Amino acid sequence: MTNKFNFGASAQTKQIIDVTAIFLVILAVWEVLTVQLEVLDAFLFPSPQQVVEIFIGDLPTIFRGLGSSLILLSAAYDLALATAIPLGLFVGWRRRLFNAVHPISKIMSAVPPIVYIPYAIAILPTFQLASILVIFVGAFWPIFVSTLNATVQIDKTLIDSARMLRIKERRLLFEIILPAIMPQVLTGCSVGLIFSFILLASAEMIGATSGIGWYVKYYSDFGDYGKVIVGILFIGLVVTAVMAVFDRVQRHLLRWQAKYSED
Amino acid sequence: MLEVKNITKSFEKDGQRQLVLSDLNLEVGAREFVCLLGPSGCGKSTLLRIMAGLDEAETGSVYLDNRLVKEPQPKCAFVFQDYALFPWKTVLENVVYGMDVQGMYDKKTRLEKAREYLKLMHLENYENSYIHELSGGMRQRTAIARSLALEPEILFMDEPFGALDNFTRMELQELLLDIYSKNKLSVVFVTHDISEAIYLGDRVVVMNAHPGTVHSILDINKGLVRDRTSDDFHLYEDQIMEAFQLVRKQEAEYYI
Repeated sequence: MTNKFNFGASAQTKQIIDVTAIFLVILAVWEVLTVQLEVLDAFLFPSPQQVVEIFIGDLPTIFRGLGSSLILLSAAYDLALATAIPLGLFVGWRRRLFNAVHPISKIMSAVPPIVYIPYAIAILPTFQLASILVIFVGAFWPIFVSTLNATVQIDKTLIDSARMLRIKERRLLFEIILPAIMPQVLTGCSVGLIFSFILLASAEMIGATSGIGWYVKYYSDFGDYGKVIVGILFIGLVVTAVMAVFDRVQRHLLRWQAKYSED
Repeated sequence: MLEVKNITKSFEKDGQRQLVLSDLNLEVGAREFVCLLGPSGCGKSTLLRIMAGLDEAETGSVYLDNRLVKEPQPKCAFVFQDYALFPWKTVLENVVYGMDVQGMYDKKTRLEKAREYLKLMHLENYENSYIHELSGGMRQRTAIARSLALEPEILFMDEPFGALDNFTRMELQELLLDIYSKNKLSVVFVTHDISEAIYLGDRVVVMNAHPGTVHSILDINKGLVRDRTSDDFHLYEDQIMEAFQLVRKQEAEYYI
């Protein structure tokens, strides 16, 4: 992997050193303000050492929460992928259908999905189903809209090239149009994934009994801010890890593009 | 045989209908290399697309071996100016894909055939490359290999060498003539390059612009034009130049 801002191996080493330095400075300031000078309220601002101790002590609870969170997230996100991409392709390919659906999808996708949470909890029997619905809605629109727009704007010569082969519509949609618009689709998928996390955390903070969002909300209700900080940092780590996996998948799927071909 | 009968086509531009092709007739015989030559805007690419079944004419019709052409026909291939390769596929996959869609051969034979055509196009060392790694000339050679792999009876080519530099263009012209002489196919080749048309075509269809019509058809004695610097070559060039000057005169009168 090369980056255009990197000039040889030393640049990467420098980056690692820089990032570590910033991290250590933040840690040092935190330590000084809480432990050495005690200028910050110890109740609201636990020391770094306390946070690490809480994290280690609470690992089983945290990972059980992570499990239930990831089940919700992947159920909803996979459902969004499985519906938004084929629908976007199909609607984008049918001009008349597109003209009919486009204005509606513009309005629907403009609604912040977070407002559906109370209603989803009211209409669905379990909290799990309600969260899955809301996360699904949040992920669906960015993926659907990006697939839709990319399909409409696809390079017509590629279509002509496929038409000369007397290709069937199904193969045209999934073997020509889908790979051709994959870069835009993946951009939509990445936005959808970020939305999913926001909605997951929001839903859990409202109605869950476990999970990474629930953890933060639950302990802030008790004023246990050490655990709140642990929860926030852990969510940051989880999102970063999931996005790193997403990035790997993206690089693989777009390996035919010049910017990813170095892998 | 491909027959074009009384084709008319117009486009909407700034709310006005513009006639692009007017009552155009043309025939392309089996194993014939026909060049459609004309200035930009003469509708030669539109005509080619209609002949290939990619676009529909407003009036008139195209027949391939007496069958009406309304959509792309079997045993026809099209080479586009901007290659229209599938960038997410490797060179080899691009060549194999068309055969796969058309249900030609089994998987193993498709690979063998594809490699054969790549070798013919001097691309045997690039079969696993992605399209963005290739030069323009190599991309067009891939596109030609992909078309030949379909074993077409008619090969439509829309200014295929228009975006290439002179050296690459001449090299590809040689390659194309070589393939044409060894395969049983007709080629319909659109170009605005006079010497390219003479060098490649058995017949050169000289087209007028606004609206596109056939000005004249020139039969080329291929024995005489193998040398691009020969007197005979220049003679043909002069004839076509004259044709275009005639067009200009006519237009001048028309506008006054």
